[in-house]
Amino acid sequence: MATSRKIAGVRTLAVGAGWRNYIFVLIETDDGLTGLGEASLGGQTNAVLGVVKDLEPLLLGAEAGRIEHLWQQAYRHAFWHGGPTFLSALAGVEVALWDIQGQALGVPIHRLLGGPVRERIRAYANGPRGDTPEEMARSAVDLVARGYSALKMAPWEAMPILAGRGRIEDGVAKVRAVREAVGPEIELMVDAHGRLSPPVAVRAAEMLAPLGITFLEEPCLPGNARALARIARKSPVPVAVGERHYTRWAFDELLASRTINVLQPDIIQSGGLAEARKIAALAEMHFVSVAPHNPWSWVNTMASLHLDATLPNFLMQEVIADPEPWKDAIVINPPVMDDEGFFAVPTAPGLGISLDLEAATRFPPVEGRPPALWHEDGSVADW
Amino acid sequence: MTNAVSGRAALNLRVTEVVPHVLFAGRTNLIVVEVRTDAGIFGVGEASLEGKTEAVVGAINDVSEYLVGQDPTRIEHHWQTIYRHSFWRGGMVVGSAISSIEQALWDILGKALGVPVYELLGGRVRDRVRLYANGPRGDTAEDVAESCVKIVEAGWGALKLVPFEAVPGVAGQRELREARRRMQLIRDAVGWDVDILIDCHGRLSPTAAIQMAEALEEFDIFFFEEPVLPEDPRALAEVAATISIPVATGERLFTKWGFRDVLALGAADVLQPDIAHCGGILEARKIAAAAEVSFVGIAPHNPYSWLLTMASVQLDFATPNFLIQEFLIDHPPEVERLFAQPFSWLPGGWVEPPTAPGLGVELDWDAVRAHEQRPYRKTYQPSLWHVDGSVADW
Repeated sequence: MATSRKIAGVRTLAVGAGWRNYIFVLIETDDGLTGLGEASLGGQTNAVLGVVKDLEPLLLGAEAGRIEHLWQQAYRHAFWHGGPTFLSALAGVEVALWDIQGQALGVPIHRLLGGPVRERIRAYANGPRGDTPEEMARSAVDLVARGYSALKMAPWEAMPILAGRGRIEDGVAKVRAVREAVGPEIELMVDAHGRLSPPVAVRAAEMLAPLGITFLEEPCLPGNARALARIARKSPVPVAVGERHYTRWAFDELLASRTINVLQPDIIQSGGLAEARKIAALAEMHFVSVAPHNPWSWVNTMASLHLDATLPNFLMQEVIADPEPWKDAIVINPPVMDDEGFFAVPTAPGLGISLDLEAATRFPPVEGRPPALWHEDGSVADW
Repeated sequence: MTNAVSGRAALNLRVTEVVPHVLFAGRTNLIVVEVRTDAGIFGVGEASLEGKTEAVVGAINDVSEYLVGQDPTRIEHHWQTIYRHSFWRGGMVVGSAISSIEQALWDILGKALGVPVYELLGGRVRDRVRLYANGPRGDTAEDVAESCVKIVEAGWGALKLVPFEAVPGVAGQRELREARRRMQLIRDAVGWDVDILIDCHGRLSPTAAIQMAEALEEFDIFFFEEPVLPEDPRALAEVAATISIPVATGERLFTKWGFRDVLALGAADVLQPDIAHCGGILEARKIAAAAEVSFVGIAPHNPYSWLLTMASVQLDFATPNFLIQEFLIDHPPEVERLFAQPFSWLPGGWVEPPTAPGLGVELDWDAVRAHEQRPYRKTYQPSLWHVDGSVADW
């Protein structure tokens, strides 16, 4: 009784979400099921929508249950493999197909990935914001009051290639203020957002270590595994990386360096749910933890929760904690975090979340570019 | 097709019993685990392990108390609990027990949802799966060549054999010449269109492996399996870096961790996890994903029954870097009679996608129960000896 269910339609929807858009893929089958996936990629809305269009001839008429096979065709028959634009679009399609398969079988997606290995899923807030230590601390206290037991902040903006302790301290002071405000029990993570050079990153890690930091994320830009390994070997704070690594091949190289402590694949940019599952299995081989990246909508959060439920080496799940009006408004059945900072394992068939298409029209897409950072001399800095 | 509501209802299951069955099968004992649930759905898995029947049955019994009362669909969770909570992890005995239970849980989930297991692993990535015959038999080179001809005439396009027995640490001229003579006879008999796989069965030292590969290279060998023993992946890497025949290994490697160094060292071109030993279907899927990163293929090991064959075929249909599936062609008739339907394959050695729910295996339970009453050989293990009476690796 193998499934026979054909893809009858592929639609996309861009929803304005601040400076960027959420991008959604909706796949319809000939027997009336609709699957939902997210393909958001800041600043590249048109390109991602274009990729979905390019994939349409492959998808229309194809068997919806042959998820891995369609992924293989999309990725490998393309000859020009991968990249964040292509993979984000492919992930949107792939998650929508998992949604369909789960709905068709009447089970949540995690049941198709070996079932849940945990009863609840710890969240961390991508959250405390503020230009000064005081603002940052206030924001952190608010988040803890909302139930979060783990917080991540990005304390530095543009940073020169070499910087003395005073310059690094500008950021460290924010983290210190947060630690003093929330007490010793809350997990704190620091996201350098690839803004530091290797020597600055090492010094920053040394300065952060006494504050009890769970991990330092993207201490330098991705693209040079050796530079990252050099930092990680010297860093007294565990190093996390992965949001800008695409497919298992990129993660394999990170793992081979044997210095990275936490991998952060994003289901969207890494290429989909099954791809992230494969990356996590590689990490498991190296006793490395996985903390999926996710600064996106509730749709990718739900997809991540299905993944997290099944991973033996799962650490924490990122969620955006800012009060964003569009975030709750555009979905039906968003996941709800409990007052200890955990999400429940999803129970509804498929992905377990859908869009309120009418509400989504209230947030038209924007022609957004990522925020720009500049060095003091007017040259480009990495955001 | 199961609809949404009944699908969810069907997943409200509890394990009621875990029953190992030992079935004498001539060459070895067939070990089948049966996991029963309160809804009447049951799953089966295979754990056959030469010479260790009692240990594997004991290992299954050690975990049955834990499993009874559990939700059988939390497959990964039970794997984690059984494997990691044991503290004394892994090895082939526990590995085989856990593998068989894991297969049975996938069988249950597939049956509960009304789909073959590959539908639960991302769906089908190919239209047919290629098998190779583990089959040529014979005491003399001439007998083996004749056996190869019969196998090819029966429709097979790929076959595997071991062209030598005990070989000294530095291969003697006698062993090298005899192996070449065997391969020459076989090529003369079956021609060059048949894929010939050589299994060294870990019988060679690294030195002898390189000598043997050089001696046999001209016969166009598909792959060279377990040229050396599995304990030292660096030795295998040395062999792989030197010889020109692609290297395969994996039947005696367990869990993803067992395969890690082989991949990291570039020690093999093909991995051969055995779903009955490596930790099961999902563990093999993880190993395959790791192999994919290194552009390494998967050829699941399976000299066991049609039950493990079907479990392997489910994996093969869902795995992009699958290469070829091992299949034992000469099961004793009393073993074939344990199955409600014979395993069917197409000329050339192809298998079509299974359509039955779960693993797609139906046992003839009356035959199983009758066969189970027969005594089985407890410690059967073939053995090889060097010419001086010392132990050689079988």
